[in-house]
Amino acid sequence: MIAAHHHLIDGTRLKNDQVVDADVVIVGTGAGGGVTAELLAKSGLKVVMLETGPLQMRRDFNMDERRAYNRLYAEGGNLTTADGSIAILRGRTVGGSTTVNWTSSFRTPGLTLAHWVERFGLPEISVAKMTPWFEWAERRLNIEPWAMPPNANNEVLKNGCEKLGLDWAVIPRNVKGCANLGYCGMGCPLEAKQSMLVTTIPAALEYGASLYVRTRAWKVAIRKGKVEALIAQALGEKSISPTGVKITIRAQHYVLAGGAIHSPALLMRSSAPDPHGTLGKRSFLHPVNLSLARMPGKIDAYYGAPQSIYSDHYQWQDGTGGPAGFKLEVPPMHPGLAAGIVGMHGRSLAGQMREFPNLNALLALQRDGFDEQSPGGEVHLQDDERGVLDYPLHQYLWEGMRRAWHVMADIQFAAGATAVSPAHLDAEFSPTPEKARQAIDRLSLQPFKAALFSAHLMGGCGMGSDPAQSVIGPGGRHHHLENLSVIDGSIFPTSIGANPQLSIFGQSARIATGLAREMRPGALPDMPVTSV
Amino acid sequence: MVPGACLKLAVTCGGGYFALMNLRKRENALTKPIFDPGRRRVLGGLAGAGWLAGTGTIITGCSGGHVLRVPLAVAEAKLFRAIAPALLSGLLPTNPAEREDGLNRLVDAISISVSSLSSDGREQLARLLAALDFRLTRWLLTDLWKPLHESSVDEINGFLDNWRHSSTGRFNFAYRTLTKLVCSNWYQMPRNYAQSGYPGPPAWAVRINKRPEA
Repeated sequence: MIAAHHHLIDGTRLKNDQVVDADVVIVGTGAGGGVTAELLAKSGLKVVMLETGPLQMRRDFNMDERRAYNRLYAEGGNLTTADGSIAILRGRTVGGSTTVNWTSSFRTPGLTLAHWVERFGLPEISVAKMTPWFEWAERRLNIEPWAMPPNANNEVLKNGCEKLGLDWAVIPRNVKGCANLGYCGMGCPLEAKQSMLVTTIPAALEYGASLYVRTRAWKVAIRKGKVEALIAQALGEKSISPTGVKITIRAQHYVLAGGAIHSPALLMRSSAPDPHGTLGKRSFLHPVNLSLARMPGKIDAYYGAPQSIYSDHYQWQDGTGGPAGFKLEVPPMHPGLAAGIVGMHGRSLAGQMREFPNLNALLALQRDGFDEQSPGGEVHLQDDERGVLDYPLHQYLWEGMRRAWHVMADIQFAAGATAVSPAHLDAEFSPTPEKARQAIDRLSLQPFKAALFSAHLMGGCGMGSDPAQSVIGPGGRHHHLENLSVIDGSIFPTSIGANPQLSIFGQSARIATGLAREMRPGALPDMPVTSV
Repeated sequence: MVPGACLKLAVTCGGGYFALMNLRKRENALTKPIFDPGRRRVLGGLAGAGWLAGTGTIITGCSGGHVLRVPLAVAEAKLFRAIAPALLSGLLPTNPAEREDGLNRLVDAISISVSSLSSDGREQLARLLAALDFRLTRWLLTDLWKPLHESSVDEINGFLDNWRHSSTGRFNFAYRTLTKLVCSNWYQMPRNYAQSGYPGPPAWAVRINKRPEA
């Protein structure tokens, strides 16, 4: 755990500009930055980590939903895509989204990796080559299929799938000593979740790394294809407005791990070479739509491991091609989140919320970026130079969502629901599968009507062998900046088709180990063989 | 004073109407209308399909630049207090003192939510609130000529339902924004947990991390 003897600097408290020298500076402390920091620091490199958010730890995690969103999430949980149509849950605290995610830990599906090898020229990350890296991350973060029975919310998915003969399985989770509380999304009050906050970051600090919090990496200074310095801003109390204090970091190597909005945005602000216009393109979200069900008994969807059952039955029916595939899971439900999802007000909302303990919700993660009809979104800079993500929803994904609403309603009824409603402003609860089917067919497929979410930001600095189609090479190195790597979810050439944290852990371990061995030959002898 | 939809559409699409949505600069705005159709994300789009397609602005019209400050100004707090009884029908206490206390806590909670938004988010919200505050735009958006705090719960419900079921994304977005700010904040307050049957986090887990000073 992060302790007093660690080298921790709070940007808010800095009074004067600083110049810092390091071997490597890492922007971001989420799944990519955390793993990278530990491995590089362990190799004997002098590592500096920068985090925009504050340091919040176990004792700050009091399971108060409002407080958690306000303190731990980007924009207090109100971040959206540029037009406001897709809500984005994104951690903004030490540990990034790993501090607040729901712990689902899937290896990158084999079909996804095969698609990347084939389509993006990446033989270095075939299933066989990636397996040791996933195994390493699974050991490091205690990832195992959840051994306890699913909570009632997850059981709806399991029971419904069983009744209908659909595939389902148990979700692996990164927890140690989990008490099955259900508050993963608000920061684990028991430090059971093996997030970066309690694993790799304290380890990196123990190896001598420094961590700047409430410090926003803003630009890199580039000269002749090399980065010469990174310029960061100290932020005020809320980690939003710069205080005016500037931190300049000069390093041998620069690692961007700010995620799929901030990594491309930083490169754009820095006017990084982008001769083929690939930067910030092909951004993916796994857009999520939801279906709500009234169950005859109590569900208490606020208690118990948030996600423990999934179904990939509709995910790969035509391999990576064909109509949009989706993964089925459930979200945990707490009162504020539920009140926001149902899309009602006044007496209808009050009536709905009176039955909140009996409410079940299913969600479908659309697998975006595999088909030409699903090109993803684009990061661009606003007038104030901050990055935003434009994500137009094309018919292809809407059709996937309509199919998912049908499937989710069928599963919920099969599990015993008394009424089901898609999360859509024009939808109402239907008491029978037939009525639900007709209602879903009538729903207009348009932004804002459907409650759409994402907790998975991917792409924008895509990996590939061809610089005309990608931003970084297979070793994580920027195609045109020799001493800059990108190591986070932004490197994925498509979405994953599963909750992405283990995909990020595995790729980060592979890329960071390669980098460490390049900078310190013979480093990390216990890590798997690096093929690039 | 309830105009027909055609008239409204004509006014809306005519493009030549005031752009007056800045609460804090309201007097100035009334005497010196701002009209800058060339500006990105601003009024220009209103003249045509651009507004319907949406560009990220809830309701356009001001020259931009006004970012909602926290704590909320009196006029902004008043708007939330005016719409809360409709959004939270049957949930606010009936006892006047308790009701007042509930509304105060709600406005404080909304202030905190607003303080976590980016400047862009706060600017968009400022525009929406300003549009609801200024008579002409309020009429265009809600059919209500009188101020919201003088409107009945039924009248406010009426426009909220229209926004909810409108085929225009901007209205749906405005509906989602207001319901989320008001209703999510309301249900998230521990004192209101009982209204959703939520027992709250397990007491033992709360105790385990309790700071000695708390």
